[in-house]
Parts: sequence; C-alpha cells; structure tokens
Amino acid sequence: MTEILFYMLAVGTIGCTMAALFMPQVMESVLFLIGAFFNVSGLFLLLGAEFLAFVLIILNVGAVALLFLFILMTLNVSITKGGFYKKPPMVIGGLLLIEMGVFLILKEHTVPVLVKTTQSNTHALGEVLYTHYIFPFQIMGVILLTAMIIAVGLLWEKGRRHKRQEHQSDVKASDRLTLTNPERGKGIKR
Amino acid sequence: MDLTLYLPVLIFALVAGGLVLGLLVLSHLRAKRLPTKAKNLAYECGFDPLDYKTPPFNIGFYLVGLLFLLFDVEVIFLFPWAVTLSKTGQYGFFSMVFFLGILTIGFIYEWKKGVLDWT
Repeated sequence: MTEILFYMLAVGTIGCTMAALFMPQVMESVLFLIGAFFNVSGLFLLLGAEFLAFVLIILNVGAVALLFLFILMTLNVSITKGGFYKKPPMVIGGLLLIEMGVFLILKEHTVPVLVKTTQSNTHALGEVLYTHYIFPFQIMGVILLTAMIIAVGLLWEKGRRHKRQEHQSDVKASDRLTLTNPERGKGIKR
Repeated sequence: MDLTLYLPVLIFALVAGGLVLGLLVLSHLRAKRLPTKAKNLAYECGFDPLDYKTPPFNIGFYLVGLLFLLFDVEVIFLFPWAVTLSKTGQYGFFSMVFFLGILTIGFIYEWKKGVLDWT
C-alpha cells in the first residue's frame, strides 16, 4: 500500500513539476507548482514527517504560491513563456541534475528509513529546536526581521500608496513617438 | 506515527479528486459544444474587449502578502514550542520570548512606518 502511494505521489510530483515548466501560461504554471507542493507534502507524510508535511502546505501553498500569484497579477504584461527549454533556467537545472547524479554515484547513499517512535513528530522537533538549536533559531528570527525591513523598503513609498510598473517598460521602441521639427524641404532622417 | 490515521484523508482526497477529474472528462467527452467567436470572448458589456491583458494589480496587496508570509513563519514556530513547553521549561520559554521580541521590533517598525494602515 505504502509503495503504491509512494509511486503515485512521486509520479504526481514529477508530472506537476514538468507541467509547471512547460505550460504556456504562467498562471497555469503556478497552479501546477501548487499541485507539486501537495504531492511532496504527501511524500513527507509517508516518511513520517507529519509536521513538515503540513508546514509545507501552510507555508508554500498558503503563502508562497499566493505571493507568486500576486507577482503575476501586479505585472501588467501578458506573459507567455514559450521556449523555456532554451533559456538559462534549463541550463542551471540541467547542471544541478548532473551534479546530483555525480553525487549519487560517488557517495554511498543510504535510504531513509521510517523510525518507529512513540512521540509525535512535533514533540520531537520542539524538544531540540528551542534548546539544543537555540542559536540557529534566533538567527532565524533575525533573518525574518531583515526580510520584513527589506520588504517594506522595496515596496513602500511614503505618500504614494500605489507603486506602479512604469508604463514605458511595456512599450516597444517601434511604438514610441518622437516629435521633430524638420527643416523645410529636407524631411526627416532616422 | 501511525499512517493508518490518515486513511480517511486519503480516501477523501481520492474521492474529491476523482469527482473533479471525472466530471471534467465526462463533460469534455459528452457535452455538445458549438463555440462561436462571441461565445469565446471575455465578458464585456456590449463591445469587443479592448485588450487581453490581466488588469494591473495594486502592489500594496503584494506587500501585505509578504508580511503575512513572514508572520506565518513566526506562527509556525509557535506550534512545536507550545506542544513541548512542559519539557523544555524556562529555557525554551525564554528562547521563544527572545525570538518573538526580535520579530516584534519588525512589527513596531511596520506599524510606525504606516504600512499596516490601509487607506
């Protein structure tokens, strides 16, 4: 049963990710990305990482995907991707894939095993996070504070609630109009 | 952790997903479709739509979404803390208080800056 579920979720993850890459519309890509998040969260559940599974849904689906949608909606451009596979992200992704392959070949890898414990996942996490890993935890707080201040600094202008995309960025050079005052009988040279 | 506890969730997800997919596929296969240009246009009151772009969206929503994300992360950290408070004791309690203190600095900064007023 677990094996069947694992293969279903794995195929779902890969399928959703591929669909997110190759869908012509960016909106559809974001929706498939959400689908991939759900599948990965199912995989976490199978591994026994209950807390991580639900945090993944709450954070990535509830907040990160929402931000992606907002980004797409704030941009006043109808983005159709097309030929994504020719572009730099694909090269970087390919390099990472090769790196992963090399890593798997060179390093002896162990398969993660489901450890049987009596206490819940959240308990196990909480017991070490706030005592043993206190410094990474506090650094986390500082990082969040930095992110907050950067977000405000980037997006907030006093007295100007609505920061807008410059309309000029949506205009092609051929659309622009130039006013000239040509001399009589000479015309305009471009 | 007992995976069988999640069996109802799995059944629910399968039924819900199957229902949605099944209805979509059925309507795709069985429905009678006679598309015309006017039917496929986006709804506009009586005239052809001027452009097909999505309308621009106030970036203020994005800022609020971003701040929501950050405080969401903060709240996520509260869950394991609340569950294990009896075991981690005072040390764990004050580590969380310090963490919340750092984030409250950010909160006060936003409040004073006026980011949270929506006018």
